[in-house]
Amino acid sequence: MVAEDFKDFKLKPMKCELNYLSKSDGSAILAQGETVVLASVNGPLDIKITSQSMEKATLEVLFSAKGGKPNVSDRFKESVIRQTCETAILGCLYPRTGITVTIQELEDFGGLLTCAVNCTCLALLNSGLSMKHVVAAVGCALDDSGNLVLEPTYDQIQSAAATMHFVFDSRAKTLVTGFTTGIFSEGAYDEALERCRAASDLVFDFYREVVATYCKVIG
Amino acid sequence: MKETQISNSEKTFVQKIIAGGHRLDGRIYSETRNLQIAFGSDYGSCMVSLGETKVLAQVSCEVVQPKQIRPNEGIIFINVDISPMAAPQFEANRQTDHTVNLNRLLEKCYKDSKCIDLESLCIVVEEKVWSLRVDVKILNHEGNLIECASIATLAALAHFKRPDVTRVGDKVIIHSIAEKDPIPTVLYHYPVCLTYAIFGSDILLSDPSYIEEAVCMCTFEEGSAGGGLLVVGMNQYKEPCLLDLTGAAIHNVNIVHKAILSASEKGKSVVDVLKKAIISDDTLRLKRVKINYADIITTEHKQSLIKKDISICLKNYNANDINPESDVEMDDDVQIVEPSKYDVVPTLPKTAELKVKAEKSAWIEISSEEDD
Amino acid sequence: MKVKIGDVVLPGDYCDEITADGVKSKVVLGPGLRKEVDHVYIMKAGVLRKRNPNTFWVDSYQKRYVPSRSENVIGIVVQKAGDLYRVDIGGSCTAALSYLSFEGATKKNRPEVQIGDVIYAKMLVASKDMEPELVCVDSHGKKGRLGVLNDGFVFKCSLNLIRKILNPICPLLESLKNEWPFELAAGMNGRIWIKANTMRETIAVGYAILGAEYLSDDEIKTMCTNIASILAGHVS
Repeated sequence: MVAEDFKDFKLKPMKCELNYLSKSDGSAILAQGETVVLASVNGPLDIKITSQSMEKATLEVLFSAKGGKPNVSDRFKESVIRQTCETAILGCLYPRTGITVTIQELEDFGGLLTCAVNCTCLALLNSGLSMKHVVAAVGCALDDSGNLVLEPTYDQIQSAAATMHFVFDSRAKTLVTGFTTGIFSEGAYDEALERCRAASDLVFDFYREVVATYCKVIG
Repeated sequence: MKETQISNSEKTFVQKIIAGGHRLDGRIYSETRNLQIAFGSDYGSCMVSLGETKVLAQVSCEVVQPKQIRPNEGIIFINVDISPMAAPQFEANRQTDHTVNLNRLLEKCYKDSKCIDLESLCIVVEEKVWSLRVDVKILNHEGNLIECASIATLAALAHFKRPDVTRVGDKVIIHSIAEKDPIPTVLYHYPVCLTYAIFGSDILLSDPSYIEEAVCMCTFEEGSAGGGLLVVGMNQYKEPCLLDLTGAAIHNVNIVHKAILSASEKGKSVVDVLKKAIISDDTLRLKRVKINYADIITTEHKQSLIKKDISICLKNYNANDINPESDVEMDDDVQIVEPSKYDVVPTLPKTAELKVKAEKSAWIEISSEEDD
Repeated sequence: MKVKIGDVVLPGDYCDEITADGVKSKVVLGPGLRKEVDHVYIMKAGVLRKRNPNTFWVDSYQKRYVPSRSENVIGIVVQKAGDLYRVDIGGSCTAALSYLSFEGATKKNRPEVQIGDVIYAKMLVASKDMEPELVCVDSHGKKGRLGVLNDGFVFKCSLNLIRKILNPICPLLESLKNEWPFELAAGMNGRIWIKANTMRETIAVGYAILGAEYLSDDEIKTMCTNIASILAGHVS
């Protein structure tokens, strides 16, 4: 069994605080190693009639880098996160409304996008929006000699031949989103996928831990 | 999403309590909320929180051609971004009056006050100068954005270090931080903007909260006397750099004077806090301690949702430091458990109400007991 | 993941106990639960609860209100539009409140409601596809406790806190009522209206409520006594 072999994986240490922003409906700040992201969720809200949808909530995702002019890679991140969230949120329960997800990068030491996806998921949990499942993003890098490194550091990413990132859902661990850079073989991709799938368990456990810290007192 | 309208109850309550010499969160008129400055791993990156208002500022630099009229001066550019993260009523990528106003005030305070030595940013006259870009991102809007944003801008500018350059003939080499120690920006003085909410004709509230700002501007829109926000820019030498009034005209001459006097004291204390934060950050960096925004995430709260600042507050009391064996003085007769005069009665489904117990005395009788 | 009653749950978990109960008799799925083809799935993060005989729900944290029928809410009148008042209840759109749905109101005799007034009303229509509608009377045409709330102070809090303080086992209101008199209306939309004899007492009530959010029952009791002694002037 492939998954069994990877049980003892270590991810970067994760640290999280929910409800960090008082004005947002849901917010989370998450540090994965040295990469830090802040996410806020507002919704369901009233939006312009032109962007309303009869069937489901309109999801708007904004990614804002720490500084500098907005660029194409920010838009790419937005679209990845939007598509991922759309599968997770039960938008059909909130027709003709809008849900706004705003993500602020605080520190980038590699794995920014995976951290952003996980942080968004935590913010969604905090906001109390109905979701089909939770999602967990895990990244890995393929170095020149063909070894897979789970959750690579900044230097490892710079020297990597390829990086692969996967997002899984919590129900059957099916692949929700995948994005890669660089050149790699089919076999390496499959192995990376299985490893990340196994490692996603750790992220789901972390979510449960975070929720457990506060849910005893809210009732 | 429109901004939530403020109700009449809130308005009158806040006005009354301020007229009575108190504030909703237990502060006195001249008291500001708790100021915290955290730095990120890069130079020129900081997050400032004033109570629950949070602002992130990041300074970045690039080499550009100088402006024709000022060939030997660097360029500074301030960009304020209020995303829906700050509060749901803000729309993404849209310039509102609020954003423009905030941007203009910061430009006035930092560009027009000439606090930055722009000439030191020059590399080659008429060809190459450093352009500093300050990105100010509002993360949470709980009132007094301008003060928080200005402290963040100043902290980021003071903390920022640009790469060193050497000129070899016609070529300019920019050294990375690892190669050569970066150079800090020269600031002649440290101006900060301080906000005062004017209530009535002579009440000045420093560091107004969201609801205080809203009530203040409401009073102005209704046309009754007073009601405005006065922004005073002040540096550490107690020199005013900026005055800005939104809302009603000031009738009372003394009020500006009073605000400036108070701002000069406060401005100095803010700058002191800021300088201290930068020095302690510098010493940590010298010791090669890694500084990261991850440090601001605290897991020490028993519950991760705990609120640090409760917007409605009694003076000198904090629910978080409850002492289970509190030795509150108790009179002997208080110890006798009296049956409650009031009772929570479930009335309609999902509501409960406090009612005077039918058989017991009513409120009015309490006073009549005292009369006996 | 398979979960049991009382567990910490995440969206995407499923509970077979509910399905098993559902075979025997009817079950009621409360907030945060959803039946799909094979299982009952969780939709919100929190704790899975059951009340006998057959009601299940998830206790979760939430700030934004999603209208739900027959809940009592506190709204702010933002607009008068023809024979309707538009009331902001903190949901995705404003709710409609007809001026006829007040006690004793007729076409000629309109209730006195101004823009900016605080209204305590009941949700009559709350469907995701329709505009929410409020009423200030019960089915007998009596106003009961509903209507315009005058003076006092309104503040926002999380939806959980409302549920917590209205829970009969919560000691907060029980302890507070022994200390000093006050009036309180709690809207399920995360707004609380309070009024006491003095402003200081009103603030104390608000503070006690907000402070209680993350405190245990014993801590709440201590806090109430502490606040009362501050009010009484025993401790400065």
